[in-house]
Amino acid sequence: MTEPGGRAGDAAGPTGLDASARDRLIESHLGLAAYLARRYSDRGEPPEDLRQVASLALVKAARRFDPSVGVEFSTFATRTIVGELKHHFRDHAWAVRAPREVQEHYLEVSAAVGELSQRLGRSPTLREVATACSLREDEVLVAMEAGQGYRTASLDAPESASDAVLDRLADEGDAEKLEQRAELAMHLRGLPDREREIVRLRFIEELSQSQIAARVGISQMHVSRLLRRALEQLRQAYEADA
Amino acid sequence: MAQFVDVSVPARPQFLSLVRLALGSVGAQLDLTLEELDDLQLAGEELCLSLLRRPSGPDARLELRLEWEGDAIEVRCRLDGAAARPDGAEDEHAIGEALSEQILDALVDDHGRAAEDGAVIAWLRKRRGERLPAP
Repeated sequence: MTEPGGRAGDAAGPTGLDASARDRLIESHLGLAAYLARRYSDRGEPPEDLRQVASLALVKAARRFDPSVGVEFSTFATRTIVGELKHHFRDHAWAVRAPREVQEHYLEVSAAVGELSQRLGRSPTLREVATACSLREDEVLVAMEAGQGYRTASLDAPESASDAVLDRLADEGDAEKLEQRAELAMHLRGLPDREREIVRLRFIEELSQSQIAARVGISQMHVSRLLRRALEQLRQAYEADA
Repeated sequence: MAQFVDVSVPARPQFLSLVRLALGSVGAQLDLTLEELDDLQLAGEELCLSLLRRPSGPDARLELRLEWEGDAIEVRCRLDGAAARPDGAEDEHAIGEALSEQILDALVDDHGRAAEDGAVIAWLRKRRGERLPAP
């Protein structure tokens, strides 16, 4: 019988694991599933959904595990879980369907941007990202453009009023821009709280995307997506109003 | 010596993805960070939209020149076929004017509008920010 994390080859074969052995295997690797789900947690999908996908993938891995192949279960399970998480993103997280290759590039780019930003202490350049991902610069650009169709769950959240933010917005700044700000404040009412706050921070306080990301607790690329979507909504609101 | 790219698209919002890609490619020549690149694309898109909100005929086109030198880029967007005021003055109450102003104020170093040969021109300028080299 293969013990959790033990070398394959100690057990009777792919169908040789009985239910209790499978359960032990699953139980002892739940932490691995949670860890892998967390690695994908800043890409716009609800964390609980990702944990569920990873847990189901772990069960699938335990069922399919063939100890006679000579691969550790943790290695096999990692591949299965990561594969299922990627499928989940392909199938559920794209509001506008992009070709699979482009979607995969986007996920690579997204991860590289996070790592590089942390290492460099600033937003990376296109060239730096392309080098890190072994992609051409135009492939990174296309992937990022496609990434704008990546669903941002918070935009689906119901609206709620936060008049304190709006009042502050209308009161801020110099007098000559007051009317402009008041008009913007009025239209911001149609946005969900977080998008409204991000628009305010970017276009009124003029914080950079990185500064907003640090303040709100999401990635710079997520801020970029939320900004674009929020602007789209604002433009529509202005035009409807006109 | 300044270099430039010209882009010409039908004056419809669905072609703005081409403008964004062109801005991305040119921004990469200046070695902008992704954040600066994103700001440039957002600003360029807003510049175009500020012109597209004006009434224009079905054959109207957006003509863009993206010109860069050193650490600076200038984007000039011309809408041919739009109904410009004969006196060349700007309509202060164009749809979404306040939003465009607010967005461009935050994203670029300078921007403005002008009338030229009966066409409306919107322009912006942006410089690459100072930063330390990669370690």
